[in-house]
Amino acid sequence: MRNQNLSELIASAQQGDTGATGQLYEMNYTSIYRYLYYRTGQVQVAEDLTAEVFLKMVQALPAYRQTNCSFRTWLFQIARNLAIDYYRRTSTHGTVPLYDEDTVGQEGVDETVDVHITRQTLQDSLSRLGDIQRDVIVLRFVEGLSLQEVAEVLHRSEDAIKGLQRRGLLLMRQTLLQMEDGNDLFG
Amino acid sequence: MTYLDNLLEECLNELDRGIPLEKIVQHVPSEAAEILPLLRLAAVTRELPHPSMASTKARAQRGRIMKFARSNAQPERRFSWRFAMAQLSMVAALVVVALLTIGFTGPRGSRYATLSDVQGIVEVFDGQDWRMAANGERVHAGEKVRTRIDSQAALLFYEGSHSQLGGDTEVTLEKARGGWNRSLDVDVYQAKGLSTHTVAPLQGKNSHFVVGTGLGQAAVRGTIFDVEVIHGTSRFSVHRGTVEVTYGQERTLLTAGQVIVVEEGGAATQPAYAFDVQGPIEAMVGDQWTVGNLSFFVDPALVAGGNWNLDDWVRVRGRILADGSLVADWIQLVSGDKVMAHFSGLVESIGAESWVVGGKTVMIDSNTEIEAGLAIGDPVEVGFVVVESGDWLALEIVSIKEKSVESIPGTVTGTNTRTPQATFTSTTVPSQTQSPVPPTGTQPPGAQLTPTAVPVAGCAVGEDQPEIITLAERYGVTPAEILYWFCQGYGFGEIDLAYELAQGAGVPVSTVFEMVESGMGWGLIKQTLQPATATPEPTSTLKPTDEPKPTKEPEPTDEPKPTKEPKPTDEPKPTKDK
Repeated sequence: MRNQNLSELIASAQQGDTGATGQLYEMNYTSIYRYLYYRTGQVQVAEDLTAEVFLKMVQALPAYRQTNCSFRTWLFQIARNLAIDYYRRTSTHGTVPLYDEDTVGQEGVDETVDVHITRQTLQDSLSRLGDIQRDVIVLRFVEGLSLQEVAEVLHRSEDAIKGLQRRGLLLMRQTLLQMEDGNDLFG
Repeated sequence: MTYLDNLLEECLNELDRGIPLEKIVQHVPSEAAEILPLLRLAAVTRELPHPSMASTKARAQRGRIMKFARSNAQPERRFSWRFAMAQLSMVAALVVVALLTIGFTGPRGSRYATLSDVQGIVEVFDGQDWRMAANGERVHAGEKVRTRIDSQAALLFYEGSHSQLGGDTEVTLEKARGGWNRSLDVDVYQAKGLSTHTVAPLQGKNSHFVVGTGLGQAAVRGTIFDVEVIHGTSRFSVHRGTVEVTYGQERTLLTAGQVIVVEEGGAATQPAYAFDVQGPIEAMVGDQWTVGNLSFFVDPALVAGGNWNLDDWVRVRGRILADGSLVADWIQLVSGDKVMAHFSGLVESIGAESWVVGGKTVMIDSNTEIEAGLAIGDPVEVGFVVVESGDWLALEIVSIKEKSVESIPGTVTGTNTRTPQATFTSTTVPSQTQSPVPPTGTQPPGAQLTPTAVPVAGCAVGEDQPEIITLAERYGVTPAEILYWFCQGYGFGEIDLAYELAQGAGVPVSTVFEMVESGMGWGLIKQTLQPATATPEPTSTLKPTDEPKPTKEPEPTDEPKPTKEPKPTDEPKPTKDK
């Protein structure tokens, strides 16, 4: 596989180089899958939507202009649109399953805040957030996007993202502490 | 956005640079208790092992994507004389058939529109499925085109007319025909979004260019106009020429610069002149917003469900009503860094330092670019900024007079009986002082709090905290109430300020916190909650008077100066008491 930089890779894929398309998939599928997983809470749905994102990418690549926004934020925009479409189709908005076979185990502990976070508790606390707050937290702290990139994906100003970010973290922390105290509203 | 929002972001950046948490919070000792747990949570979230797709599934998916890409790519063929000759024969036969056919059906290019300027995510529905569209693709009668947010595309017609589709727009090309005399017969149905149509002067009596929306339709012969379908209304506005708008049994002829909004049920606003402003949201107080120093009325239904924040960059299109007030019809988030504002109207007077256009006085200076040959009565578009004094300073004034638009066969021509007369009088310039009417201004502070004033779990501070007791005593509320706000993430300094402002203005403290949540800075909240100055009540109706009286040419000097608005003070940083 040729080692091309991203711009060259995109240009090659735009000209029909399927190897370059495959490389673009390799470079981005994990991030897109993770985002869609936390957005939908379902492994199968996240996998299907990930495939759809890249099929859309192939279709839309000829029209993609590298000057508009970064390739990664463009892919997240497609993913977000598909997630919204999915919710519209299935009318399951906000009903993130609480337990999933893929979310067991893998514990991270932060003694200093008395919060024991696992992938499951993270997902539970994320499910308490509004869509945009959840997007901000996932894109910023799971995917590592910059503030500017998150603003691009969500079509918001950077200042708005800062506010959503702080309030989202606050709400997550409260939820996690509630769960620690046995006051888990998930029952 | 608050001080804490900014501080958290700065600390997160330091965390990204590898600075240890303890060192970061040393720089902000008074906020450490609030910031540190959030920083830790962010750090733990980052370090947590996150799910990933099984590698076998990823490999299979990759193969599927590449196969799809291959089938999408143009196939390469080796040159073959035999194949070329066979193709040539077929082409010759087809040309003969085509020549015979097009003699009756007009130019081939007239039976479809060509997609161009495709940016972002644009899809075509061909009767079975939505598929991604590309530049050069043909859209035939019966096919739909939709753009996603932040995307755009144009439909080009064979004789030069074109329709530009904005983001989140969907149209159906219902009819596309043409003739050898360069005639064009186009019907477009717009289900949602914004489209701008630039129609070359149509040739022949059978030419039509019609855009329908379900609530109304616009028919033209050579003009530039917009159609917007949003929140159950259809908005038709004209940049150049004239447009005949039909809705229900009514017909109205709009001229350049005018706009009409048709609502569900068939009611329509009076035609009015349009304004268009782009900039950051500077204030959102009740139904009055300010963008680019321009204040306007916003129907709550227009922005319902959106997460609008101060400093968000938006573009606003609206109408200037007969009483001079401004009302927004359409607001959309945009990415931009330059404040721009435009409005249109007829030139009513021309002075050395100011002009009156559509009843609005605009100042001019040596930098104002004015198109040559403009005269009183000409329709113009004015690009302007609102200066510190509240005056509108024109940056440019250009003609939007129609150059050569023929009358529309079978449609209304001549006098437009519904053309609005711009009659801006003593309160022409809207100012921020019109708006600060808090939602529940007569209720005592704290009146609405008790039902929800329950400390949330995870907020590890007791009601006996000295700051809580001090604030509770100072404002005559229960410690539980102060604790409630503290546990919502507000610092004691912010809570103190919020109660002080609420009691000063006679509004519930929850109103102040709602303003904070909406993204307003403390400076703006303070300014907003100060007693309103003696400005007229905002008009209760969106529609101008039915029979506006003809406007006399006012002398620019007669125009009362707009209310001056004190500049908002810098947003104070909330005091951290902890």
